[in-house]
Amino acid sequence: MSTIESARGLALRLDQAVHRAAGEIVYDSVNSFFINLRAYLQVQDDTLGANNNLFAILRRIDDQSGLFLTNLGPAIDAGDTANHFHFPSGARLSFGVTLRRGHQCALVSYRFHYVHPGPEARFFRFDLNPQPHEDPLSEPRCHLHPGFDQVRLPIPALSPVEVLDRIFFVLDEGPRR
Amino acid sequence: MADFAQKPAYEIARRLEVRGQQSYSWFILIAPPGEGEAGVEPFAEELEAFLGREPRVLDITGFLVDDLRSKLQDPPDDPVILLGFNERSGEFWSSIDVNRSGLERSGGIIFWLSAKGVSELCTYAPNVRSFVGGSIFVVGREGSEMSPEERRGRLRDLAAYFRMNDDEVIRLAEARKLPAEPEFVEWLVLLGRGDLV
Repeated sequence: MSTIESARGLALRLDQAVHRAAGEIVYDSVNSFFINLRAYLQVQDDTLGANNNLFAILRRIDDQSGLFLTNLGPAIDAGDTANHFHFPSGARLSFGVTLRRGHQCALVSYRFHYVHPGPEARFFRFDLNPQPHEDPLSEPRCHLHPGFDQVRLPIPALSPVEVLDRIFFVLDEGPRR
Repeated sequence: MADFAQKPAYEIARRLEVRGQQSYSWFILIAPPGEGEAGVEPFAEELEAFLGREPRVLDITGFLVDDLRSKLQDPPDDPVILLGFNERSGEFWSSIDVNRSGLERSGGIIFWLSAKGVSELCTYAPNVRSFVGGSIFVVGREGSEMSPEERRGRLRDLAAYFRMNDDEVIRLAEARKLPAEPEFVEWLVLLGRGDLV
């Protein structure tokens, strides 16, 4: 019979595997990461006919400590803004991705916040925390918030582009298939 | 010399992508004053991201027009960025102008020139200038760095949402007690304290 202790044990094992896998997501340079991310979004924008100004809304900070932050949209989604990525479906997206410079650039953390259109404005947020939590059952390192801030379901260590693939081709496109 | 539009590398690369891989396009890109050929590598990276194909960077210093023609046709379908025109004579540009049909290829050609190089091209290679048409741009700055004002706005939003101030965040980070969420990593980077992550 499963108990909270066994659930925590299994969650810990899963989180350790995700942590290792997240460590294997690396990039040649922060610049190539940024350029390729922007090109990815531009191609999606062109395909959707969405008309977002990627050059204006995708922003970057190069920290002296070696961290590199890429932002699109607000730090906290408290409603629609001009700086979100807007989908023709009426959905919106904001995100932040942090890398650490090095011989190869490592992924530190991310958050991708996608809000469905409509009066309920259901959201999905994909988070990668910077390090494992002591209670990975409730706070897995890589997780999805399925519309509730306090609910975190574990997901594989997805790269930023893999997260965007789920947003563009599953969450946004899926309901319209 | 006429004033040419300044466009970031991103937008120029996108224009090339929109025209397609086999576009027979010729572009002239003018390096910002003082930057010379330093901007070639970031531009090539931008172009590769859009085209999914690494552009060939070809320094034509010392080439005859025949050398240039054979290099451009082998292969004839990749994007090529041409450098090394700045010390070439008017006579060389005239030879290119006369032999321009031999340089035509399905892959795009990007002439990377200084302002002086463009002036000479316009003077000695009027047919090349005509072929290029409106595709002459000054390569602008990247421009995607977050401004201090943008940073302050984001910090205000984070403070209001989490009901904490910057000092508390730094204190918690120093004590290794900061919540695990990625927003706190962003907060520290916005404060210039990425060393605490």
